Amino acid sequence: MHKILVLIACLFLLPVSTAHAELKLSLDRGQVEPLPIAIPIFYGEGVEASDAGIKISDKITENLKSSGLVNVLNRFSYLQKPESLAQDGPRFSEWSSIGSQALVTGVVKRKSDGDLRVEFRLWDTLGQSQMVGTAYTTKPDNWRRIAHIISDVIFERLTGEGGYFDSRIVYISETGPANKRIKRLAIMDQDGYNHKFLTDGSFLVLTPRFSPANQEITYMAYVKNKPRVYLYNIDTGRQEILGDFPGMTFAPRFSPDGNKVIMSLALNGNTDIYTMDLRSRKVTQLTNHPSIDTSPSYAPDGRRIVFESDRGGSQQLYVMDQNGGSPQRITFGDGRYANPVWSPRGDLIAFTRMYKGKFYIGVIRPDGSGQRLIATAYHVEGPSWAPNGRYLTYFKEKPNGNSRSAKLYKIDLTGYNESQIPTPLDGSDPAWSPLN
Amino acid sequence: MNKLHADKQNKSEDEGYYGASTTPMIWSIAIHLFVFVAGSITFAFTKHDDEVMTPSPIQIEFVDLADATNVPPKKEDTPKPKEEKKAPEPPKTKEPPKALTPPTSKPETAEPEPAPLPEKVEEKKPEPKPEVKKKPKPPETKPKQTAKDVIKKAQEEKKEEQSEDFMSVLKNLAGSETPAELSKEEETSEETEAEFPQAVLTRADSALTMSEQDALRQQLAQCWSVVPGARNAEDLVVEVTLNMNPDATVQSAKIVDTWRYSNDGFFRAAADSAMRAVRNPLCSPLKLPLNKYDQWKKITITFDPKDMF
Repeated sequence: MHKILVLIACLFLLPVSTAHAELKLSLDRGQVEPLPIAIPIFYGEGVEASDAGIKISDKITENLKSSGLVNVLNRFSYLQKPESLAQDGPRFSEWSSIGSQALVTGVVKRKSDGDLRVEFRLWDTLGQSQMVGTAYTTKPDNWRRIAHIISDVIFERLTGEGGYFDSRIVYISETGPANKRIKRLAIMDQDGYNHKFLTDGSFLVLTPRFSPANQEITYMAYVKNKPRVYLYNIDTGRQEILGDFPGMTFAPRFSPDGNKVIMSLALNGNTDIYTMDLRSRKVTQLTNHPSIDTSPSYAPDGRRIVFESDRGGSQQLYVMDQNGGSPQRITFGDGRYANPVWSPRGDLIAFTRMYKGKFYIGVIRPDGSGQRLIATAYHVEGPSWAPNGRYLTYFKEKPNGNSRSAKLYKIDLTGYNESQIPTPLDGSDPAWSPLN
Repeated sequence: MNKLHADKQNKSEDEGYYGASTTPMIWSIAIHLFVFVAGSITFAFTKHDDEVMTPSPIQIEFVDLADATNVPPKKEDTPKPKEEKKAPEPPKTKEPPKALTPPTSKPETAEPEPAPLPEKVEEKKPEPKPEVKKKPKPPETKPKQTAKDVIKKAQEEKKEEQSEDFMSVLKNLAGSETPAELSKEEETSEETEAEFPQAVLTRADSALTMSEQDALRQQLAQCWSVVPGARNAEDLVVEVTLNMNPDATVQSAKIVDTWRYSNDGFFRAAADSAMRAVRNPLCSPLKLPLNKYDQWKKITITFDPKDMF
């Protein structure tokens, strides 16, 4: 009996005593600042390896800088040299003393068969531990791809989210005067390198879209003045028309599994949304409304579709079920809304908004809440999501004398980190690929 | 035995004597007893009532705390300064220790060479994360201590050699962090000196006052860099438990939800940023009243970014 009483007494006393010994604190604000990171040159033995080491580490630096995620510290401040890093590992105190909280190190070796072996590690300098480490082997002229892959690994480890560096962008390359504009389909890495034209400019191409699942592009082209939706296989270079409809088809986009294309068909003066199964070629009509319904885009789970429609009097965005049921209007702002694109991570829909003579790129939650405008200009249009759903690419057009000049840009969701994507000529209608 | 007998006899005699005459006596006793018992029961109840009322004193304690917060700084100067002086010292002794740990962990991490993989990704096993960073506080780790001391000296020498070159390099750098960093550290030690006097005046056994907690919060907010743009940032609430040294430096830090740390990439990124906050040089030592060590030996910090987005 005594024991039980003592036990009960102890139970009552215990929380009191621990409550005294432990301080509990809740922190609900911090700094939204890029992470200070050091990226010294990757060490390489021999001329070729050290040359590749410089190029790869420079590319990683450029990638991560442009992401706005990190603040890459100036290499002049680094105390430990690449060779010492490769041989002895990082002296953490030196790295944290210059303010770096993370460190990327790498060693490049040239193998006997001529291939490059690139080994990299990401370190937590304050925690004094390795966060991730990987090695890649490839042909020397493929160094750029390795730099992208490493950048993705770093990005993913620091954010928990997939990267976007090892991806491509397909877009419309434009040249010539306004009344005789030559538009060609072109593809390049997301940083503008490895640029290639896919069509020769003999016909007009518009609105290219990448398949989320395959190496395929769908777009609209005016071949022999007939506007139709086409499919293009990047690997084979084969191009095919998608169905033979009596009316004009446009604004195509793939379903998340890449097995369907959803698009608009204008027939007898009315535009509705249709899907086509790419294997069976079966066509299904989703909307049936006297208004113009267009620019459909699937949610990543394929269950819902966002589209633009003027059924409410002005051009606004609507979300409906995958079979076309229960459409709900999600935008109610002034002006017109167009080009909705559902983010690959599902949480947001990007759009173009036209209001009082200006264009905006914005994002909104699928339930219509949390609208944010993140870019604006005389003419910005055609947002497309990076594969991780944290960045957008779009084109910006400036009046340029009698003609116009259009360039591609990318921006992060905060709206602070905007940068131009270099293209040899003018560019519009960019579409981001999934990760390679 | 005889005595017992005698007592019994007496008793029976007495019974005989009273028994004949007094039934009313029994009644009287019974009634008296009843009154007495009833009275004591009632009293017991009234007392109980009193006890039920007692919780109110809690309020008084609370007031006491607030009072302490507002105690004007300069009254009890004499004993405190000593404690204060302790505060500034630790940072200095501590700084070098940080330099110490790297060499030990370095060789381990660098050694395991990733096996040459065919074409692509070959994951290198990150060696078990040394989550617990031991500050060279007195008793605990004897072997480490000695090894560390040697390395420490070596490193301190190196540091001094380099510092001149280093500073000159830094002067040339536009946005370099280091000078800021260094001066900030000095600042923090000064700040701690400046801020502690007030805190020190509070009673050692009392909990941290609101202003003391706010000072700590402010300091940590400077060190916590939140990764922006994460999906469902409101779910990324991270709890970190700190074991503290008496000089307000962090002895060890641990993520509470280790399962989620190893299974959820988003959480892991958020948890890493929380850990970076508590390891940030700007947050060492933490701004805590040293005389209340018992109150903050162990600290659990909840990093909750949901209001930031």
